[in-house]
Amino acid sequence: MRRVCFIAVLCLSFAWTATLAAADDFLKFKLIRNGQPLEARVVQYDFVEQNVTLVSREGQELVVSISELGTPDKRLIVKALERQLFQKPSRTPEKNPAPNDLAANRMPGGVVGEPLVWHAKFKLAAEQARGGEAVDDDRPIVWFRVLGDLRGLM
Amino acid sequence: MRTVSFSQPQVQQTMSRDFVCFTTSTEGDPSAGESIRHRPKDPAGPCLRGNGQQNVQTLFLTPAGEIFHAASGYLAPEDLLAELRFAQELFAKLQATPPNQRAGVVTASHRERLEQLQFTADQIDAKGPNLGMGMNLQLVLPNSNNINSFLQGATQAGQGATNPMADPFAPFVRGQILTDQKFCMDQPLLSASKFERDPTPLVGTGKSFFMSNSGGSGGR
Repeated sequence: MRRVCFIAVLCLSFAWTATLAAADDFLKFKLIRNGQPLEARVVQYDFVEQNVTLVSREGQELVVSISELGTPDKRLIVKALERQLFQKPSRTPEKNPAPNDLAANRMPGGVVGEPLVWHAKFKLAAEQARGGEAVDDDRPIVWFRVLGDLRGLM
Repeated sequence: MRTVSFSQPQVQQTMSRDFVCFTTSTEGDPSAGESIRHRPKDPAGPCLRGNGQQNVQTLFLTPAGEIFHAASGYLAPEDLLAELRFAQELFAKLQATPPNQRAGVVTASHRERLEQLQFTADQIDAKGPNLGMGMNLQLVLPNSNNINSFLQGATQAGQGATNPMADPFAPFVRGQILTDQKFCMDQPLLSASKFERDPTPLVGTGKSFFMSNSGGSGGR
């Protein structure tokens, strides 16, 4: 249950904090170590063991169980993960990027695949899937169920 | 999937040559999720494997309309190719199997696949609906254009998704994969018409809302 709650906090915080800019990797945790709030950066997060590996400014590595952390510290970890995962690419974006439509999916060298032919009636698909007299000629059917219209709005 | 996966030449070649493509709309289906509509040329946003499992499902059928494999939610091109390969191999096995043993082949093949993906026997044998259903993590994150590169570990049918340090989303992705395979194991060779009447064993009974960070031009 605790894990589910933390995951929920993690996901919600992704949405809430996604635009925060990273100024410094080190974060001030409320977790007390040596009589002081811990200032450390997050280097690893283990989803299975539910612990986080922190490295303090002094270079000391600490593995802390998530259950030991209060909500403010959990938020800091979410913030750190979000920085690591969703930071903007370092290289300068292309000035005039191609629109990400069919044309943008061309393979290097200009190779373009044939557009797929989709049957809307199962009967017709099944007829085509039955290749002939021999069972070996049969093909499987790939059925794409989609909310909307594959050829239009979806 | 339309903009990214079905437009990829290798996917197109494989699907055109080795499969017959069939599509239906789930509009009006109570089990369908909701989404912001996209036009064919809307830009594609980043997406996790399995996102929008109530909005899109890719199922593999015999010509007689029996479902032998399923993958719900978004599939990146490499994921889709992996599913196509698996489906091809399983279909070939079914073709060579006596009718009374085909369901067993479906179950065994999916079990074997889950074992290869390092799912435990307890996970595979757990009972109940949608046990593996991943958290419905729909990404609506501005400036999140690194997701796809980050999620390499979560793609390719979850093979690299066993390392949660490399991929904190792995549990969600793997949960979805587990749900899909278990659906096929629990109901091997389910008829398409029966599935159409009640898709909830695969898609669950919850309601999901899908939106990519590219937005959508159509509204819903």
